[in-house]
Amino acid sequence: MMKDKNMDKAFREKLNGFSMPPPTHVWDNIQGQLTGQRKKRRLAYFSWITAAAVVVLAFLAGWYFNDNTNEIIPSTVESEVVKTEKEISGEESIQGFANSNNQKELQNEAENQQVIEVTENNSFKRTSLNKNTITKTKETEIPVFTSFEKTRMKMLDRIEVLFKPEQAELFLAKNTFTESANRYTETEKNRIAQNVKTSNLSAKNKANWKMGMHLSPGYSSNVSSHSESYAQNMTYSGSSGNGNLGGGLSIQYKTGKRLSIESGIYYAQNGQKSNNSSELFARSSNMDLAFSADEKSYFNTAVNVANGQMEMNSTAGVIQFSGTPDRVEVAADLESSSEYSNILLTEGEFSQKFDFIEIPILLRLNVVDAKIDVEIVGGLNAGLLVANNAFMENEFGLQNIGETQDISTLNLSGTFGIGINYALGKNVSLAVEPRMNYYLNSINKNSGVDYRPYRIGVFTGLYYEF
Amino acid sequence: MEDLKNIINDCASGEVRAQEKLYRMFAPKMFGVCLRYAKDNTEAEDNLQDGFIKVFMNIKSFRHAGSFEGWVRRIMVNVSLEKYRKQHLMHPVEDIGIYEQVKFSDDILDKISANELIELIQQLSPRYRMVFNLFVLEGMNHKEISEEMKISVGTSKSNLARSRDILKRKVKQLYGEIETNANYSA
Repeated sequence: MMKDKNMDKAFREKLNGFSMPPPTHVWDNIQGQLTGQRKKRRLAYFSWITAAAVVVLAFLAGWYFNDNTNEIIPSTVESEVVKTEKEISGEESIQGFANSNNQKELQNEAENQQVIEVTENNSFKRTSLNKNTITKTKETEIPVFTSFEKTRMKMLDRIEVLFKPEQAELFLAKNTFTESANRYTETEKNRIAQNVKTSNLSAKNKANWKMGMHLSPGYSSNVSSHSESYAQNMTYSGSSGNGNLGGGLSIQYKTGKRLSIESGIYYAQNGQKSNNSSELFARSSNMDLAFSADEKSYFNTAVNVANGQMEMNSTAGVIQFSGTPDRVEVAADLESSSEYSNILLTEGEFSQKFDFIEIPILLRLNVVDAKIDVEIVGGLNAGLLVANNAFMENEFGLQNIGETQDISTLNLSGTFGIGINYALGKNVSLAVEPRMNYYLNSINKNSGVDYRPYRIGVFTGLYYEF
Repeated sequence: MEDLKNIINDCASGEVRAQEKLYRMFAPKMFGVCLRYAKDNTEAEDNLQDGFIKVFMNIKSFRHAGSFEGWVRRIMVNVSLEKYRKQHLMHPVEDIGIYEQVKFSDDILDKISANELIELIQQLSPRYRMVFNLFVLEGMNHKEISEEMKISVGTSKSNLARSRDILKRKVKQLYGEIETNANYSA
């Protein structure tokens, strides 16, 4: 009798080095799949880049408007600066006059000159009492003259000394100019800000209409339930949501101090994906069949083939195939007594997408009114179905396989959101609004399906008041 | 071997030529591995294809630490295991039975070819085939097998015994003195 170990060893020896060239089509398939994956990845990058570009553009537009409004503020400041400059030049001429007097007087008696200078300084003081800048110049001037008095210098020396203060004065004038400019804006800043604010506020109060444009990256999923008979033949509903991008235009009318009404037109997409599931199927009678076809461990569901049409129960309703998709196998389940007597085998993932044009009537309540406004938004939307597609995605890419049956054209949805509004300028504000949109009716008319999509999106855009 | 290292690096940067070279180097051997795990050639081809896709997708993560062939082989085995797990979700009933030992002479295996052996292995049921492969050819122990296949250690042991038994019978039927057991059906 042969021992197990010996037998194992014999098997190992025979089989370990065993090799056999595979058929050539295997490599072709591998190559095809690898290039397919590369393409897919590139496509994914591309869509991300597009999304990023849109966001960046929106922000750039925001900055553009922001810069325009900023220019208004500096222009008012500039005019103030000009004013002070004028004042200073006036003062300088007075000083120049005083200095020439001084020089004249220096040629006269020293005693007299001293007196006049002092009186002149005094008068200076009086005239410039309300001008801080001048007082400051004076303060430095006085010690110069007192030093004069003390040392009783000779004429030449005096002139020399006088020139020096003159230069110093020039320097001082420069200093006081910048200082006065600063001081001016400091004292007036508040008033200017006040003015700008009130003018803005008055503009805000005047503007009753607001126009907005939005982009809304979002996520959509659904709340669904199915009748027992429907669910029996349904794909396993291990479904997940869909990321998507919507957007539109809106118009607001302000009816009161805090309340406004909004309408508009939005494009939105709802849908979901049905995943490949390891729990393959809902019906036990398919078990054997699935086993016999076991090299396809794929998405596997009962389908009804009748009159050359293929139908499949899915989360959002019955998918009607426009043809047999690529890389799909349909097997007959002869033991089944129900009408869904065929099995679809594929590696793909199904998604059902519904595109809506939504016309909202929303109420907006302003709860924080400041530089950043906060509003509560709520209301109803009429959702008009504009596109209805079903897709299958496998290693060969995304295929449109048909559409979902019984989807109503007109639907009602509710919206709730919080709007955060940042004023970029007098008329333009940037809005970020997380919103939730939930369909109040089942968008599928089939009595066996209750399918209510919902969507969470961040409406980002600009408002223009007029 | 420096050559292989270069090919691997080129594959990592996505060069199609290098990928083809690598495939030509390893495909026959790996096809041999896949054949043992599959019930027929078509399934083996599918697994080989999926395995090589995985190899190329993950080749960047190969650290040149161990044997590359071992790494590729492990991927092939994993693909087969994954498929097995996906397809055979039914939890097996514990079948710890004792089977009558088949009498078997040592030299009988010398006559049989590797091709014929693989055919016999392919005829085993998926679970027996998996256990036999993992234990005998991959050198895994019953505990590891039970974890990989989500079965108990006992089931793994009895499955191995059973698959050995079936294989012995089949070899005997082919080459030995034909001594069919009327009560037995494989």
